[in-house]
Amino acid sequence: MRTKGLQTLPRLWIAVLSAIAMVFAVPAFGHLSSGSYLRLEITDRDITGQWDISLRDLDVAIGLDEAGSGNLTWGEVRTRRRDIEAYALSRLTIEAGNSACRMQPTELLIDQHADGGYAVLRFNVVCPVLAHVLTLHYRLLFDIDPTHRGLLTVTDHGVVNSTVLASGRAAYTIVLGAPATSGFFSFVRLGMQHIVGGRDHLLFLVMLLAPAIVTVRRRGMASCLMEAMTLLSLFTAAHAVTVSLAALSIIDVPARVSEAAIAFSIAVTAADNIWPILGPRRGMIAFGFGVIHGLGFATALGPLALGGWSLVAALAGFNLGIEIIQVALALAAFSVALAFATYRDVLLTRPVSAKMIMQLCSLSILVLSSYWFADRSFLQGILQ
Amino acid sequence: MQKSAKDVRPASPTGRLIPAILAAWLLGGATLHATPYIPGDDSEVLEHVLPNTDHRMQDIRKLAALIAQSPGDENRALTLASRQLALGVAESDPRFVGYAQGTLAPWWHGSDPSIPLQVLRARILQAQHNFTSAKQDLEQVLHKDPNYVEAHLVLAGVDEATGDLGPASQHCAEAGRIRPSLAAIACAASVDSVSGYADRAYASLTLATSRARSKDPVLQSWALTVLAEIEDRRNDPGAGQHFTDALAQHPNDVYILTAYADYLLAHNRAADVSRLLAGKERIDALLLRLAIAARDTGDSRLPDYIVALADRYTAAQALGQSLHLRDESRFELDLRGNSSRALELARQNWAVQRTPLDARIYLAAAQAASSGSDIKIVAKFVADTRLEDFRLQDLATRQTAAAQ
Repeated sequence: MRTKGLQTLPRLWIAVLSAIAMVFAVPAFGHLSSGSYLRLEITDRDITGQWDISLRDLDVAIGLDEAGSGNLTWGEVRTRRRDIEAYALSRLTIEAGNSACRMQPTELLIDQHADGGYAVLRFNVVCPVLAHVLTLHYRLLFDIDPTHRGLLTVTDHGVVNSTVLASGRAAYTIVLGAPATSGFFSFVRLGMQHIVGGRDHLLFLVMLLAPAIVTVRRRGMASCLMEAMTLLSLFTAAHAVTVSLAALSIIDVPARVSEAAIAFSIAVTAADNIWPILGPRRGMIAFGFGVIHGLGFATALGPLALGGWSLVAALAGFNLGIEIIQVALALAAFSVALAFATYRDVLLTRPVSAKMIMQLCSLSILVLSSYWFADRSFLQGILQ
Repeated sequence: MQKSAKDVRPASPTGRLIPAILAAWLLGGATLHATPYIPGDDSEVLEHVLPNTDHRMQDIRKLAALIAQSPGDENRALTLASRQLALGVAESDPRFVGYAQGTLAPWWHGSDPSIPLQVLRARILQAQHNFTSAKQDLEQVLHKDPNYVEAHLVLAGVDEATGDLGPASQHCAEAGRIRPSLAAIACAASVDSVSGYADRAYASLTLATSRARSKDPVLQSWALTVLAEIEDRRNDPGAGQHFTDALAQHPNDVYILTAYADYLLAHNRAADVSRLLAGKERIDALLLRLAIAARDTGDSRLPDYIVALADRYTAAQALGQSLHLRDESRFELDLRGNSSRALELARQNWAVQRTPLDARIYLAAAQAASSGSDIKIVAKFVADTRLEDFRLQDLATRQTAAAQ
């Protein structure tokens, strides 16, 4: 026992000792550390947000306890509503494409969470452009408390995703209509979903490939496949270019114009199937209308808030997704045609040629697409 | 604190536990998913913060105002951050520890930190249970200056928390060699008390608490708590008095309240726990003790307590916080009867910290789940550290006997 040391103890060491007492008694912390709960709900109509922020955090950030009594009352919170909303919403950025969305506060409420009272901010997110990718930057409280966390929950058309935002990883990208934000593959999926859901594109492709398909028995598989692949490649090359240009906002064609042009492209192709006049120049149709269809694809993608390789990956993924479905469709059509050619005599009692069936289908599609064209180019304009 | 020997423990705590669990399950998440509302009255109190009259907050505000005028003043930032850390530990509130880290933000990731900064950073990391990073910082400091006493002392504290008692003892001795001090003696006593030298520690601390120079209430209450803990582990009757004395010096210290409540619960004095901790429900560690006391006394608030605790643990997990593992393990075992989950949490906690309390909780979960391999881990720890705890020593003896 160093009693001598005890007697000659400098005063400084009393202070150090208090610190040591603190060091040895590492407490099991009695409270949760700072966290906020941010919820975004995305529907076809709008984006709404709800943000639960601890009143204790808000008190440290902007000083709510006016009376200094240690009791935060509703009166103290209510009169500072503007300040609370301004403080919180200035620490959250949501961008659609390259433009920032506006946050419009709608309500201020109170909730009691497991660890105390929270201010509940409700707000609308108003974005200037429609985009398929939203980027979110979260900056609440990190300057005061770097251990703060934000629990983000995004509900996109009923699909729920959650993530924890922390200092250093406070950005989050929301790819709409794609539950898992896995970059490249979510764009592949987006491309696939878009073309599967777009009857215009599918009808055009069927019409484009139909002559090659129905002559499979007469001309042989190799020759027909070659023709189909050439047409598809020309179509893809053209729409890949326009999708990219539109995604980069280099060209911007109103959706109404491009949709009318797409209907026109279907009508022209269907007509050529009935009264063939283009012959080997169908390749030009494939390329020219590919440019127009690319405009349609681009509306699904919207302006992208991406740069560098992630932009390249997104565009490549999107075009690949479209291509996958196109090739699958072509292969399915060829399979049907081959099956029909093989079992025609069994299936039909009267000799009907594949070409006749193709022409009948083309005729009905010509009628339908002509109506679409008229509807999109004239009728809607009149109604508006 | 009045002791009452006539408190009777109910015959079957489990008999009450089952309906309580059912009720908790039915009400589950009720408070987490409460509907936001607009209070009807301006005077409705929504939250409590430290009042303006609190001198610690006044100091912190003054320092923060000074720093706002001269940002980049590292010395002032260090003073402010250590005050914030002290408040966080005293209030058992990790928010203030986070503010301390925020105050040091301009230097936190710096490539060449000053020694005082690195020591304070280590103490903040320690309070956040990031013991590995704290040790790294302190070892670097000692590499730069092997005679930096405070680094030895803090590192001893971290080593003690992780159960590395050999190195802890060395660092206390080293601190005392460089400069004999009460701090070094206290350091050694703390390590001795859990590594087979409880007698020596007891004598040393008894002497220290009687010295006029050490009347600092924080030190007094800390030394008295260590004394009480030694007695508790040895099943000596003096423990209760020492806990009460420690609390008299530092009435709202969460660490002492928690340790004393555990002592009372172990001695069938649940009613005393309900009285001791009444009104302190907001602090998670104390709410857990209140809930266990409510279970033992048949208190009708038990289902509410269970729901509230479950909500807090769920929220902590959702936010990726793991400061609660030890308590959560006990919650699962004592209040939900889920021994496998309790064992899982106790194992996770054991990977981070290894104090006698961690060992007891790990053992309880391992025994409830009949996991021989986990029981062996605790037994080996007790044998290796020569921890003097009657609840654990029996086990170590039995294990050794079984092995032979």
